[in-house]
Amino acid sequence: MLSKGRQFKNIMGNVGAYASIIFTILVIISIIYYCFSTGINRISFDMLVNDYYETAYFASVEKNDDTYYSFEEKEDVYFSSKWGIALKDDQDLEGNKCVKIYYIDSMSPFANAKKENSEESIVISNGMLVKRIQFKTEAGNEIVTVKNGSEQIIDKLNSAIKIDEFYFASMGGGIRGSLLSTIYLILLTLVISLPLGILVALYLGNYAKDNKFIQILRTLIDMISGIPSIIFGLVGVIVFIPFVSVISNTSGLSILAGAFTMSIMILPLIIKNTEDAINAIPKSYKMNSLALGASETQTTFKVILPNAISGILTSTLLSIGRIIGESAALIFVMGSAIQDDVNIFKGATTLSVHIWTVLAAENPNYSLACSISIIILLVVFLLNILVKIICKRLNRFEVK
Amino acid sequence: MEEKIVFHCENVNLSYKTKQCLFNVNLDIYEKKVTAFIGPSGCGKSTLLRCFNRMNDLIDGCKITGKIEYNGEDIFSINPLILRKNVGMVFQNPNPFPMSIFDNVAYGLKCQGIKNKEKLKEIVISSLKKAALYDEVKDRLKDSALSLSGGQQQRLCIARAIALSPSVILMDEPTSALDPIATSKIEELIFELKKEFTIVIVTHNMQQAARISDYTAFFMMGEIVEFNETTKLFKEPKEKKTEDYITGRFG
Repeated sequence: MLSKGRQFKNIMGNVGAYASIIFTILVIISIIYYCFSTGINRISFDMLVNDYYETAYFASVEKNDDTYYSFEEKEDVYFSSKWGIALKDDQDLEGNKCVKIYYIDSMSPFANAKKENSEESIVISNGMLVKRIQFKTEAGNEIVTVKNGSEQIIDKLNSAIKIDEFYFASMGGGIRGSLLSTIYLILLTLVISLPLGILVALYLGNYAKDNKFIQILRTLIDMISGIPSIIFGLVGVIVFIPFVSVISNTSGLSILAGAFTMSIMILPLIIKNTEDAINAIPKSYKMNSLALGASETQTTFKVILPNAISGILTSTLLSIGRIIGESAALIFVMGSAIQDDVNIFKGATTLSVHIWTVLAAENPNYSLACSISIIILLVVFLLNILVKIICKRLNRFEVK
Repeated sequence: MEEKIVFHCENVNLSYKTKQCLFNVNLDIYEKKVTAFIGPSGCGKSTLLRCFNRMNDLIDGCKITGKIEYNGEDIFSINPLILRKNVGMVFQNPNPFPMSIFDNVAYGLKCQGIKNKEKLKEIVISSLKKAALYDEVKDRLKDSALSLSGGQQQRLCIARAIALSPSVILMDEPTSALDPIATSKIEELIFELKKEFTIVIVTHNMQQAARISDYTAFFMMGEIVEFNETTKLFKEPKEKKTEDYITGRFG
């Protein structure tokens, strides 16, 4: 029989542990639930591949004959049999009301539209947004805009005899640019920091003697991982932006400078994990290798490095997580202007900074931010699985 | 009967930092014979063994004085990589690399710069045959070496060492981690191998030393107490300490 005091302590300990884990699970679930409930209906393939900025086009359309076009009727889709175009009310990727072109008959005047005030033809394709139409009727000039809605637009178009200005735009609000720049940033950062970090770890774990200098070096490396990222942003501005400007003859913010900044930031992560993996390798492997007449370098690259690969992959995964999640430093070094044309010598936003930009705007767009969050969550999740699979593949010689 | 001397030690003293481990060791190792080192733990048997392929070089603060000659040449003037190719070593715990069986045996060869696949395969197979392992693994050379049993792993380590065609094989308690059946297989193997190689074996098992060795050196406190032909040493030891040890009165 336990004493009363001991029983009480046991119960309190257990209650504390269970309560904490329940709290943690609830927090995680509520974050995921909020992201998914707010952002999930915004996610589409279009969002991933579209530009962020709309491109505006102006065309003039003329009808020269009296042909009428037919269209299989659909709910919420309005068709002008005179002009051979079907429109539909929809929401754009940022959640605003818009009128989408649903269908254009291949013989319709819209298929042979010309650029305004010129003879060049212009392609109007399905999925583009109608912004404003200025046209002539028997009575005179008239204008319809998005605000009228597709039903009214079609209604009025049927009385038009000539469309002077058809203002339409490609669909914007996509995150293609940010997605691409995130990938570029990850690749560049890893290309810079992985070899550097692995070689440092090999030195520390394999060659370094245990003296004062190495101890100080280790402390410094540990310290780097504790520095707030905004300071790295500062370093990036002071050191890497000028450096990239010199080597690339461009000026200002760039993905490359961001990659250098992130490289320093994740270096301690890679060094620590790789060194731990190297230290976990049995010393006997090294002894055996040397006893077989292999040189120190051969031992390092043929025995030590292949066995440390799981540590290296773990550090890579953690680094990628860190790169995807970083925003403060990158706003300094890469800017917060969303770009559609991604160039490593120009500024851009990663997905996280994209969220920041969207939320820092006059009307914070929470649902867009949530849908980007979902994409980030998915990317991190996929990376996790990928690394696990690779680890399993590479470790196939370990004891099953 | 004149025997060819492979290793010749003269007044070898060895110390780790401040602790002296070997005192004035004088010893000859004869070619194509099995020499056993016996003695209580911490008496310097393995330390002397590791001198022969300069593995002590890797330990910080290890200082060796005196003369050790390999085939008449001072071992400290030989490049350690070349010395270790000629003086193979098998450790106490079977420790194959986490690679395939084939790659394990081919490892040393690849490090020597042999790239020809046909040649590699030929040497690997002949080494596995010499180590009496080939029949057991011939269908699964591509499998992980870690899937083998302990005894098989130790024979793989021996195959790995003889793949480099050394003249000497050093064995540091090669059977202490194995069961009696695996041990007897290794002992049979040593018997076969001594036709071709000089073998130096450290062992805690005196019956083993008596069974397999031609010469035995008895170590105590870093000194060689007695060195003689095995039969003589076990039947009529000259020193009192040796007698006490082999009859089990202490140790």
